[in-house]
Amino acid sequence: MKIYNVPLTLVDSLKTKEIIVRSPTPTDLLHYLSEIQSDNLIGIQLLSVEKDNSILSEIELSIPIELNIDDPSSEYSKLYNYVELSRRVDFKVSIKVKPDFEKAVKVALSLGYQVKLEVGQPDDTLVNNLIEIFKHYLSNPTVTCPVEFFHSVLIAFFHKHSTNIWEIQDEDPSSNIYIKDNGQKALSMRLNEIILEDNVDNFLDERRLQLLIEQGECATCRFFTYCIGYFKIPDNSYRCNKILELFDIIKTAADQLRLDLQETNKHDGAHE
Amino acid sequence: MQIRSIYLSIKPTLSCNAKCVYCDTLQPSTILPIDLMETLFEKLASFTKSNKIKYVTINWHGGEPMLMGLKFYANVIDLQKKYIKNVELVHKMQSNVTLYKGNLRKVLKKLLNSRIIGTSLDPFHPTRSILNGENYYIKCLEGIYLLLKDGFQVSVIYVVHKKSLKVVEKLYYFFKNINIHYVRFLPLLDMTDPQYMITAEEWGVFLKELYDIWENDNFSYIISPLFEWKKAILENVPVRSCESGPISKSGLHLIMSHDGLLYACDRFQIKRTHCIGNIMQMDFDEIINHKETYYVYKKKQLLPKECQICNFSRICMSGCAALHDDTGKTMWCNGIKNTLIHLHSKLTKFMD
Repeated sequence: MKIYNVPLTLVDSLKTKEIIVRSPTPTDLLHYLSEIQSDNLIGIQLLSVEKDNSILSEIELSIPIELNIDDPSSEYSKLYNYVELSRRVDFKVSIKVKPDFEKAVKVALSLGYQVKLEVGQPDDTLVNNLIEIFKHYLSNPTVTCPVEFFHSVLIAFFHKHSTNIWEIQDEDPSSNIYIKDNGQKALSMRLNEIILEDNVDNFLDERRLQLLIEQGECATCRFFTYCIGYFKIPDNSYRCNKILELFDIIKTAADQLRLDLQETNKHDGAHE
Repeated sequence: MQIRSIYLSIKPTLSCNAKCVYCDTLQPSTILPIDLMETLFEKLASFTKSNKIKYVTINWHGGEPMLMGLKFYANVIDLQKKYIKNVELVHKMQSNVTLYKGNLRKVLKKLLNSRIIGTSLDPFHPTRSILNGENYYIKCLEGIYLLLKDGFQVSVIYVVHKKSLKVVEKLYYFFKNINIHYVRFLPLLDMTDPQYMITAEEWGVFLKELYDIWENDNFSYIISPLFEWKKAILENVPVRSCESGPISKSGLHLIMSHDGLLYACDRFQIKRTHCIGNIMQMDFDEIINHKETYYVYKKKQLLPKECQICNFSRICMSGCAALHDDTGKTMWCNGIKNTLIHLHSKLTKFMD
């Protein structure tokens, strides 16, 4: 079953589908919400951070809400305004990886919000900050909520499971379709310039094939099965060496965690 | 000896649409006639019925088996329906997969009920080309893509040569990234060109480096022969393949070329030695009583003294019987032994 991410104004055209509706403001959401068939509504995306979001307290909500932080350096302090909402619903903050994003992540985590990083194609400085945030997420005992994509990748490395960042970031078009404001189907909010054709179920397999044919750095990358060229869009010439450093750190952490658990289990077994 | 299963590798043509630097299968057009297939199925049906054999595997090989085209394989499906009853007949194929497209795709999906197909690919060196000038690498990847889409398990044979020694890690991850079922690394044979040929020691160097990369990647996919060797060491069991390890006499293993000639081993067919006879003139009862049919099996029973006292003989069993040197050992002995010492030391540490 595909999930459609649709603007409020186009909800009518996708009545029979499972939808995540995105709203510029809480006020707009309140205005349209009565028209949406609640059976098909599986999530809400708020596109702006409001100082006053008290209007949301008027809505009976039982579905997850994701708040987009586009400009973390100016918006991180407003995250405090969502504490009440986060206690009522499954609440996640999607933070764009731009300068000072780490401040927003730390505030969000301290308030107990789940975090999703809109990572894009970060430069070396931002990857260093991502590494710092990963270590904060991994080692700080006060952090109790997941930070995606770190969390799912760490779990996959730990259990030796397969996963990929497209899926983790809700950008795999075989399961998530982004509907632009003009009704066109696009790859995702981040990559809304990439318009999708009708049949997109094989998008990742075709992408895999294309990257292998190109024989660029993806073809022999040790993390390709987790990434499938995620960091090569939109600029195919993006060099992944720093990203690989981040993935190596996540993998080392997962391997270490597994070894520690094996040791602990062995130790516990010896005492029984 | 009761035969329980039959493995038949059929080479319906020795022609190929590709040219590999280490392969000489480019033969003038050679085609297995469909009436020969009918004779084979007829004799197979009679033999399996009288001996209560339930399992038969046909592996289509070549040359390039897809050159036979959809009509040939559609006929094979019809003949199977006509003759083969109460037997589980599984079809597999070894192909360069560059011709897997169009209507042939439909017929092969129907024929290859195992959904298992093997191919071969060298991603980093120009050892393979297609005769019509198309790019082998791209066409093979496109074929693999379609096969995976059609639900096949694809395995790849990679022929290790001198230049492979410099790209072991790249090879490991490339094959992982294709998303195939497993990759089988085999050392290059019968080639004296110094830019490609490798020694037994170099084969060992390649395998040891490959093992360390595989271990560091948490053994995340199946690579042969390391997978079998690791299992044999950890579980203290012998490897069951004619390549490395003992083989069973209860499984009849035959290779049939396009002209109906039968051999016990693919390498005997290539060298045209130890021929058993022709399916047109022999019944399966004669085949199983022919001295060449169990040549490989017998050779495995007669290991030289050095192998008998070797710690790893239950894993290696002197390798492929067609590749024994004058002393009766496998020509890759030094490389295999060095690799197994390396694996044993790492795995036993792991077990502790």
